[in-house]
Amino acid sequence: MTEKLYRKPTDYTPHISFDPLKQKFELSGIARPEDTYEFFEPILNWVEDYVKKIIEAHENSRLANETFLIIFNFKYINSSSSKYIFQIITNFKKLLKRRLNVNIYWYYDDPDDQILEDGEDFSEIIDIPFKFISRNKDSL
Amino acid sequence: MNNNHQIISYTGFFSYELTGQLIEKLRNSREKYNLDKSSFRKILTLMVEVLENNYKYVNKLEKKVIDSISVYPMFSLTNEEQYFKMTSGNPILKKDIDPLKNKIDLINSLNREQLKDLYKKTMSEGIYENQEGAGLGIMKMAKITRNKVDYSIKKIKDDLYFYTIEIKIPK
Repeated sequence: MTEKLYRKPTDYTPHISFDPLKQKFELSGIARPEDTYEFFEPILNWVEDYVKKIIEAHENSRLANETFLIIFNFKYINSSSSKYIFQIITNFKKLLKRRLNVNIYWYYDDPDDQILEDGEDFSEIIDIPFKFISRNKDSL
Repeated sequence: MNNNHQIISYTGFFSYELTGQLIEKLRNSREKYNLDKSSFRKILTLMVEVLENNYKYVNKLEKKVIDSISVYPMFSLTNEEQYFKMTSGNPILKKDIDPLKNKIDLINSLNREQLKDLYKKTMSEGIYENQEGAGLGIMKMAKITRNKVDYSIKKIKDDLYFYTIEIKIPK
């Protein structure tokens, strides 16, 4: 069983809470780490490892009709972090290809929010539907 | 020049920490300059991209090059009538000019759909490629402002030049 992954948020790094037991994976806050590689590489490795294990379990018929919930609740993502977010989503998409359920929730503030455009771009590029949800409150 | 329209102005070497301080300054200026939420977010996003490009490039220069710099990196944000103007400048080595110019000229030659396609392509190229930065950042600038990215390159001395990028953010 993969261990839970947790990162406390800072002013410039996101809150990460990946819970394999609940099959709920959440990233929120601001993504502008000083060293993008150092921050995101272990997170990406965790996701790759987790997805691999799930696919193995699925192939051994130990999983059926499972649902995975991925929540992005970002206020800001810099472009170097974008590439890692892209890779994280691409990895989770592998589960969708195995006919497992992957729900991606993408939060934004209002329609002219840059973060909404970022989410739409990811959804379009990776070709995976997102559920866009308005936070609808003053923030940032 | 009327200093009242100057929101942020800084000359010197930038860093991760200083970028954070300048973001705070922008945040604290929201009321004074009547920055609505949408403009504030656009400016914040662009500011981070231009400053990261600025200091990540300068930090990679050899110490002897940095020691010889006589024209320092700069950043300014001004409040104009129709738009906000963001200017960022840093020394650049002659050998890096053509790749940068080609990148910006390509981005400026694209219409919105073509720009989106290039953005998608660059994003899906993976993490280990395109590590020079600038690529995705400059595309994001053009995407957000829906404007061309203006730039100039002027000789300082020998192989050292000064690169300035100017972005207009419509109100």
